[in-house]
Amino acid sequence: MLGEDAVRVALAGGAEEAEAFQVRGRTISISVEKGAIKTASSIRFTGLGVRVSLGNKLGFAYASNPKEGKGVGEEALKNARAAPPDPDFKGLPEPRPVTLIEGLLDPKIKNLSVEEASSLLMSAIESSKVSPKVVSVNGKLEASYYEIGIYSSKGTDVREERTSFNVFLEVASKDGDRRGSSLDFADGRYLGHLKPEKLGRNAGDMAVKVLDSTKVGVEELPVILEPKAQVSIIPFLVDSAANAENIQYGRSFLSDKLGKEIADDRISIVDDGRIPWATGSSSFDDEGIPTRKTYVIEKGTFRSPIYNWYAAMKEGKESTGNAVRGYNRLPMVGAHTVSIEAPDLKMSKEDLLDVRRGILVSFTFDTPNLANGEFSGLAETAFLIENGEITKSLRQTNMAFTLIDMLRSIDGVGDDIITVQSLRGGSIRFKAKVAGPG
Amino acid sequence: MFKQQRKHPSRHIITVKIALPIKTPMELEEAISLALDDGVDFIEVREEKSLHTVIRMVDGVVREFSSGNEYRISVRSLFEGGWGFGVASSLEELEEAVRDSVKLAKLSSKWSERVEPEWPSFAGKFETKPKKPPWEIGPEEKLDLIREQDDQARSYERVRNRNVLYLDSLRDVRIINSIGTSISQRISRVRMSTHIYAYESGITESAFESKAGSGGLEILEGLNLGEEAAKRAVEALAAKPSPPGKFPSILDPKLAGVFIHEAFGHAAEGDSVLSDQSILTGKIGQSVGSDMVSVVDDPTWEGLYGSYRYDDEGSEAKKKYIVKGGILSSFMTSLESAYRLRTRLTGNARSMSYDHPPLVRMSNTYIDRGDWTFEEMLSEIKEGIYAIGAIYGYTDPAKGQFMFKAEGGWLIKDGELKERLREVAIAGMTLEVLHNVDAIGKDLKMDPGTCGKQGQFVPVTTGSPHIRVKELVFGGR
Repeated sequence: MLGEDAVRVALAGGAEEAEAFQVRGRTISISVEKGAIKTASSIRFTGLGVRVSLGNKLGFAYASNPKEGKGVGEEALKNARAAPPDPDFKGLPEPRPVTLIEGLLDPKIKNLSVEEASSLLMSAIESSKVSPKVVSVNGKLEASYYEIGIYSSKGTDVREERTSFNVFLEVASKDGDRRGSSLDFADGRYLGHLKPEKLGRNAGDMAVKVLDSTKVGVEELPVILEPKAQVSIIPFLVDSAANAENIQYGRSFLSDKLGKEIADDRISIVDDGRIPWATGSSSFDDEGIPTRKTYVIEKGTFRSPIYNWYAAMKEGKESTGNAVRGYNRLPMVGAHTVSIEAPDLKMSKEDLLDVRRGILVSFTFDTPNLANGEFSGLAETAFLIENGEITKSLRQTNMAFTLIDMLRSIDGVGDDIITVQSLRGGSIRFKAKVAGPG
Repeated sequence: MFKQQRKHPSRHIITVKIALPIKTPMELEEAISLALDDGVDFIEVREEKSLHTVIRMVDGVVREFSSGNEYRISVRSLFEGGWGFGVASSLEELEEAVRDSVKLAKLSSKWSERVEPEWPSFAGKFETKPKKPPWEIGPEEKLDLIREQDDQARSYERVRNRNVLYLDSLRDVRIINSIGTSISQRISRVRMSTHIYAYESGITESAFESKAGSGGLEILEGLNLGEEAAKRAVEALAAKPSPPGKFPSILDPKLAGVFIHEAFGHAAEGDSVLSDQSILTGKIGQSVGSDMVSVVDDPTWEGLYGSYRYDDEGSEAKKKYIVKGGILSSFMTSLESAYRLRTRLTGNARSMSYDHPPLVRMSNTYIDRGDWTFEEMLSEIKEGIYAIGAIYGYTDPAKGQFMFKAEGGWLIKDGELKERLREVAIAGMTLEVLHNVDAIGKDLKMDPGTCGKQGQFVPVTTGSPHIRVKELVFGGR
């Protein structure tokens, strides 16, 4: 066992504590360019990362595909010797009892062949050709099976097999001189949840719709963000803004807001690491601490940041099981799956769209500013709503709001719930300033 | 959707002596014969070893002190237009990786358009020659450089959080293929960045600075990244939100550099052009901007972060004008895209690491110098915005729509900088903006960054002088 060897070598060399994080697995990846398969790949990988401590000095080393753990353990120890002390480092994580959850390993992905993966992607690609106006489709599908193992001198010894997939489609359209494009994506841990035809059709339909576009001026309007437009915004509230490390260092606009009301009291925001088949789920985090459900905002009040071991120890608290890392990084703090709980604001998508004038945003890729909580970005794929009807696509439309204003003005949460990336939820509606090209 | 972010590469280390296992050509060449015997049209083998160091200091405390090493051999086969890609973790696994890649290429070919490997071959060796090779320098000297930046930021009142990141890497690559290419390249890169947060009366603002290049620690000596970022973060505390709407504007070199990379450069990548995902398809020889605009991509510029002699297909890197005097003159290409577009091979195929096939990527991309001074540009604006710094940007190359985030700006009134503005979002249609450029400065500056495309992040440089645009749409708040 590579990890055990690395830990043993480090301890034998004089380390006080040592921990090995090991991942091994296989990724199948298919990419399509202009409707044709461009590259198929199948890659097996192993990675080992080792943390070693000497008092409050911490060293880290990693290697991809090491033949043995010894060298990595020695290198980490050497780094610990060279590292200056960190007064806030209080030791590597203590083991905590872990209850394994279901819904992390799909045997179909584990045994997926490249042929099957190609057929799935090609079926999405073919389905996106909804009209002669669709001129080109690109896409990518990745499916991974991997095993994570964490072993430490403190007694942590956990391992788990997981699977995941993600698909991304990009469709270009053309009508005379007008050009348009759209996209769609999906991910998860269970391949049965992927509906390639639906995904393809949706990306194709959208690419055709955006050809007929109009513009807005500078206006304050109800904005409806569909779930996929929220993936860079709502999880950000937890992943970055309520990230204990960002709070402790004063980087986040939530740094001085703990215990304060920051949202409408009908709104709670939770992070949950134990939802079956969600990409963000696992039985334990990347330090071997069990995952859990954390109320970050509870009925409008900022209740708790999310913690990994280091950040929790700094405050004398318990880790919330939010350590995230790759084999080549030290553990950071990160969210699992974030959702808005607001039963009093729940409504149908139709009711949500029932505004005199507003905009519906399908995708945006911008993220808010961590320091001041302001969002100012492009509504990448957006539509004008007039009298409850989606009329035309909008081009070049910026939207701007602060996250706290958003949390206070959300007046509807849709029942069109999906799980995508770190988000689980339906569309949301709130007021924001939008600015078109004039 | 291609997104550029100021992301820090995550794999880096401190290491002194590690022998780099460059294998004898014969062993890799056996892989070539094996695949050719299996009937492929083309095969390429890339052996890659890299060493990394990362040291991260937060508020004066070293939070991360790490080192890593990576080694793999990737194999790419082409069969009737389909590519297969396999990876071996050692020479012993090479045969299996070759068989994988051949099988996968045959599978892809069922859905592929044929391509003939009518490509030139290259032979040679290149090595960056750092004056102070990072792998020969002990941790103390690196720590001193980091502390120097931290101290600069600490001396500013109202600074609340200081982050200094040091990275070095050594990437050693050998590429051979079935049409005779055989190159080896060893590039050492270093990077230092500061991200400083300032706070006053409930307001937090941050600013980012970085310096990077190919070479050694000499690149990171005498820097003032801590001071620059601290100064701007503190200055931003008193800033006002930007007004939304359309304004005449001046973009500083950093922002204009990100603009030309994101909004234009991605559309000029051969694979985007081929896949109908570019507004530039079919526009060679046509006007794409004001006649004062020239755009260059130059991987051969020595010492920059995005520099290299050979790309990751082993092709020799070339300096080229993408736009000359407002006319689109060249795309950036890889072997396949040059063949399919029937155009010049420019050596722009790059891969993030051994487990990724190369894509068409930019290197050091910039808007060429003009003859204006900043003061001349400013004096002619009655009411407008001077936008500075870039946080990130992205583009939809098919629609030609871009969005980028400036770190801040200044409100211009009657030819003078009047009021400091906070972070602003700018959106527009690329070609409209390029046609609206009405002044380009003499003051070309190059700025390092990391560019992401299809999940692969590579070091690049973006650059520009100050440029003035007749009107731009600001998002405001």
